[in-house]
Amino acid sequence: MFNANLYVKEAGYDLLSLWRTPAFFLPAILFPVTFYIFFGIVFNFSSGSSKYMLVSYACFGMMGPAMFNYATAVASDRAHGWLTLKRVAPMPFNAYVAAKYVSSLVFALCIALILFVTGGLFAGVELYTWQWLALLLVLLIGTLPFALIGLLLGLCLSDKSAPAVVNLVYLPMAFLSGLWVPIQFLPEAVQYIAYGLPAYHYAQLAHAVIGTSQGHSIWLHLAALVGFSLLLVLLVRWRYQRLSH
Amino acid sequence: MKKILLLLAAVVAVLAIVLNLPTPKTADVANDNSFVIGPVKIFDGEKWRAEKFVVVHEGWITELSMQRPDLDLPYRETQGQVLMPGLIDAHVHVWGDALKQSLNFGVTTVIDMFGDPSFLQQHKAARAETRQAKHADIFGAGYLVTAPNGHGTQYGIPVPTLSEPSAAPKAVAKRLDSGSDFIKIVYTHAGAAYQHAPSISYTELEATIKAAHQAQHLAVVHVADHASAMDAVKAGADGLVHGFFDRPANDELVQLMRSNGTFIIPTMALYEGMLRGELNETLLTAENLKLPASAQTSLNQSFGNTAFPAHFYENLLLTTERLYQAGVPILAGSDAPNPGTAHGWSLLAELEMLQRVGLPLESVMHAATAAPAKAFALPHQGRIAVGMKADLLLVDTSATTNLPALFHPLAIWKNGFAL
Ligand SMILES: [Zn+2]
Repeated sequence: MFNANLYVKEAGYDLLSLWRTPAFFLPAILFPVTFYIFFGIVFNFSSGSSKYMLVSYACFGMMGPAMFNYATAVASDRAHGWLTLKRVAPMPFNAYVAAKYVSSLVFALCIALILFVTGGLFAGVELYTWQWLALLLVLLIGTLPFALIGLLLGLCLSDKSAPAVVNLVYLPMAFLSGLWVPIQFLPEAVQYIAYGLPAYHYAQLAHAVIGTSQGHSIWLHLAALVGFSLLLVLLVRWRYQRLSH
Repeated sequence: MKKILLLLAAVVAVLAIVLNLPTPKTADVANDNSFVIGPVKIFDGEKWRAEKFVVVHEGWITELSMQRPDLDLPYRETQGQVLMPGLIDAHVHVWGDALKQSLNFGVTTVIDMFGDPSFLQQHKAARAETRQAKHADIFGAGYLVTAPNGHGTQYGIPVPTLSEPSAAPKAVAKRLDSGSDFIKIVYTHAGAAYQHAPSISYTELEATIKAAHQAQHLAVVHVADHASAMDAVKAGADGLVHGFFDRPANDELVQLMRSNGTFIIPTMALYEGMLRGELNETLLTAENLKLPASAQTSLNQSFGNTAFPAHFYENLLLTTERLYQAGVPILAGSDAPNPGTAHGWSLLAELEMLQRVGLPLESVMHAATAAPAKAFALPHQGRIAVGMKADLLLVDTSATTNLPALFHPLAIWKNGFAL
């Protein structure tokens, strides 16, 4: 049943199609990088925290494409009947989903590297090698729940409304999780909202790598992210079953 | 095959980028005088504080906070040990490598009670700077004010002397010109029964103190007996740089010192060496400490074999106890390197003496930190507060109840640099 070649091929096609849609990948890369250069370097109000800002904007920059890639692609594939086609074709739905995830990861990796190099070269960010590596791993693996959110939205929304709805989820969540303004500068009530957002736990895990988290146990954040992911997997499966009937 | 190679190349490229990202220079981090430390239990020189974290920026204390502040500074994580100001020895005589020796015992500031003015001048700039230093800050009297052939002239340093009251303003001005931070006067009461060197007269004492005060500087007096102490306090001295043991301080003296706000540096560890001579050995054995050879030399010297009555030791403790009970500021000072004392070590011995007198631990620690800083108006030393130098000691948690913890500091910072 498991055909590795099929997965690799599908991922390859997916990357290729990403590459051919600069309208998607250019803003996704430029958005966080420009944000970081603007608020993390040029107008750095909280002096000396270019390291902190790098981690925040990296989280911001990586969770976005994971959601967009799935939501827009799945919604438009559905609209064009591709998804139906793929369901009847011998390729399993799993391969389709996994391939998309791999291509999102490659994409996220590029964003992370661009941000790291920008931070290192222009903002004087210095981290130990283990921190750079751990940060990269946490940032990449942590995109899973956001990819699942994107997938769920893609399965629920039309191709026209998907991008707008993703933005409605993405931007407020990023703000309320302290990715633009450090969470301790936000009103206390926001803190309680943040506890319920995966982006908050994602960001805290990443901050824990450089020692700037709020100090909660990393196991708590991990558990929250795993919990969100499991819940989303269930919802995706439920929605997918509904669509196939 | 081609795909695997391509994948490998991609992985290598990613690793190459990540491994070439800037990393902190390890040497800089270890030798950096900017950091956040905590959680610690802070004794600020006066009292225990509720704050748990201290921010040090370029050798200066810039913030105390309850929570670990979110700053891009190296973080020194501790487990709730005690953080206190570096110690101040309020009575020393410095030359050679005394400032370095002192620092090794956690003494980050010394007050010199008579020494070469040019040595003091050389080291003055360092007091307001936070460059990496392996020696304590020094404040000092420079030349003392004494009579011709008086105490202070016997050490081979040509000391200008005072022989008439009218010369006092000029003598004071000359010392302040040569860099003295305050004026130190040697005085013995005219009727003193014990053998002593010639002394300036009471009128000369009074004139000198007045001249110092007119020039907006402190005047402290070396005395060694009750009658001389009484004269000095009456003449308006700001502090006595020794205790005495010929008799315990009487009520009149205690009340006068209290109402004048006169402080005292009892130098009991020094006197213990003359009266008993057991303190050093007892402490060194108990604390299992071995002093460097340079410290041993002065520690093993003695004042000679004068036999004193046994109750003199009791008088010594009683004087300090009465003054403390009355609220007279007590400052810890060793008078190192006189016979039986050593720089750094003997300040710790003096703290032990203060505890024997019955001072609670906080008062003992206060006597070697904020009390001398306040008495001598030291601008950046002896307290943990914003604007102070990061001259700090990290000591075991037992320091909240136990003096010996101070004998074994876990870390010493001078100007924010770890020793
Ligand atoms: Zn002396």
